[in-house]
Amino acid sequence: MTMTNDAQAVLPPVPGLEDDDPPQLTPAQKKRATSRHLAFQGGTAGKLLGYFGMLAAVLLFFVPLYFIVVTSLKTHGDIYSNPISWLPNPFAPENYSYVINEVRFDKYLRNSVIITGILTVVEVSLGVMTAYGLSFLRFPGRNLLFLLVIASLMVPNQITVISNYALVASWGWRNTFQGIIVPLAAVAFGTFLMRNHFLSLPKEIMEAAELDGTGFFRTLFRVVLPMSWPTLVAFTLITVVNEWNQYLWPFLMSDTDAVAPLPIGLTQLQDNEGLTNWGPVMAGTVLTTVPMLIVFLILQKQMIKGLTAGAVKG
Amino acid sequence: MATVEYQQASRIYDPSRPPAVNRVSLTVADGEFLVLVGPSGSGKSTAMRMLAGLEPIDEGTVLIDDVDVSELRARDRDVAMVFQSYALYPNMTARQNMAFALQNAKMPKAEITQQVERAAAMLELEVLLDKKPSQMSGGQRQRVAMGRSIVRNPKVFCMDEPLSNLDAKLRVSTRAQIGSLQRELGVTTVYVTHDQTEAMTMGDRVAVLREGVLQQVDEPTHLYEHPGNTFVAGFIGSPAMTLIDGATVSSDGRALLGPDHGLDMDLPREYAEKTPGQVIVGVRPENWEIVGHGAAPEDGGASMPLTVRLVEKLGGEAFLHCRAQETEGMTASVRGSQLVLRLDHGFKGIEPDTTIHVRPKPRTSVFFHPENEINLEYL
Repeated sequence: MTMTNDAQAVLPPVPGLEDDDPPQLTPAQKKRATSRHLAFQGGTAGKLLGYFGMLAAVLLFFVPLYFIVVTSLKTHGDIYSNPISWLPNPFAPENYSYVINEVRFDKYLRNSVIITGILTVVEVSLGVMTAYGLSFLRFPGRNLLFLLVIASLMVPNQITVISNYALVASWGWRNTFQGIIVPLAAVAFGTFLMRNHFLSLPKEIMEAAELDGTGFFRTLFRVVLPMSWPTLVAFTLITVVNEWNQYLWPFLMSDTDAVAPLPIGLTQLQDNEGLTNWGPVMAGTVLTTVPMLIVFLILQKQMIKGLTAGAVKG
Repeated sequence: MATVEYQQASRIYDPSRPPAVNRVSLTVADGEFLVLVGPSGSGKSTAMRMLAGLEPIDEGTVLIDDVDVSELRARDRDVAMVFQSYALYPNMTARQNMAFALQNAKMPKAEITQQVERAAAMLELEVLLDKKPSQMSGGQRQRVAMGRSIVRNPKVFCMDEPLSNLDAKLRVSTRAQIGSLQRELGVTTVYVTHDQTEAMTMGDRVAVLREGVLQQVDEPTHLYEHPGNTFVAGFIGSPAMTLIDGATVSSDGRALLGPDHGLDMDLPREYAEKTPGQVIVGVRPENWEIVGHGAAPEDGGASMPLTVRLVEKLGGEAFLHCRAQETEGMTASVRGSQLVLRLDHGFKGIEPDTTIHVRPKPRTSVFFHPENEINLEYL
């Protein structure tokens, strides 16, 4: 039984038996073939405009940063020279040794590391735990609780700072680490971020874990968190930077170098003598920024790794 | 190895609406392969998830091995599941995916390795063991998901449309693979699908669900030849069975397409008294006989004239999509007004928009009660 049309006398040739000449490309096709690697296909003017925009954005960020670094290497007179000098003349690295030796920079650095370290560990663990509970445990009032967490995000710090101060000071916690750390350890943002991420995980994988007899915390550490790397790293990074730059609360809580972190130390530099010597201040700023740059470079790699590893369907 | 029993089990999401699963009573024998089939929204997945412990049982009970598991957590029921999306852990290799449940159960390491290797050999997964799901094709992921269920050696397998994400060719070969694997392991299996071909080819028995209500449970061929009601008749078999509403039962017990129509649909005499003067006739696509082209049949007997609308030639067979012509004396009507014939040969000369005359082959039609639409055999 055949399905062919027997009335047709000559059958069409089987493809591949005859060598065909390659097709002629039209000018438009040729142009596309040569420019395929370029993502942007606008004209020359459009490209120029694009590059100009990029340049403007880079300058906007880069010029202030450049002046921080350059000023940190200038002498006092050089900083106030008119017109401004774009390179330090004379070259003055002694600003750095001044900061390190005179202002107990090491002490402030130690305080910053302690405060940021403890706060990051506490906030990330609390954030992950509360988010896990809010997304996978069923209990009455769960949604109300989550609403409260979100609501607390909407109250500015400055509103609660006075009552917080009165309370913590009355406990005698001024100039102590716990006085700085405990009131800052609230994690509404992290809870919000992680909960929403946990709820976006495929439900079937949680069900598979349940059927595989995975315990409550084992599910968290072996199933949920490995699928949450990018979000967790982003959360950690935001927390580290945020706590490192914390100024108002530590400033209120401490008036010596015993527990004050780096941002407070920088203001000590600024007010030493009536006229601020910007060289050491900028040197201190650069030194304060360096640890964050290192943390960012390390975690950024992790974040990208997490992003690609997590890119799995179901 | 275990038996499974549903006793009037219901799942009620919203008390103001009909239950998703409505008082299903069903027994699955030890080692049996039961397929739950139905259109989407029929509650087939929900019924299976109630067995796995992923949905609560709002009424009735579910028993595994004669033990009531209705209030037991999913992890304590010893049920393994293959998900439609496979639900592999993306951060683990195939080996870790398969070993995970055994590690949770604190099985000794050497034994875990042995179990995983055994399952991998069974599913030809050896080369994939150290790959992550993202590096595998859909078919490979599906096999790893099967392997993850097998290593646990559970009492019951639950499979939720495991083939629906595979391409057509792979689906056919995997279908056969799952069937033979299940027979080899002898584990009681509940398999959910909306594809009636899968249901017919894989199941020892097939359960048909409609809007949460169990319609019929039987062996596939019995279900095909003796559908319990018009829903099962229309759902099982592709193309669907043609249903002719309002056929007249004459005083001498024959089913006719009209009081004065000559075409006898061959109603068994003993069924005539079970129905109040009318009957619904069901004819499978392969049970029509073409007795004439264009003009009336040469033998002069009565027939049903049809207009051919579309001829689907599949190579070895063809489906004729036809519309019944209005004829004098015919009071019965074809449900959906479209009927399909299956031909193994002799379809070459048939063109659309021509007329053919057909009769059902003798002793092949199925008859349903006109009101409750139940097969007269079962009344």
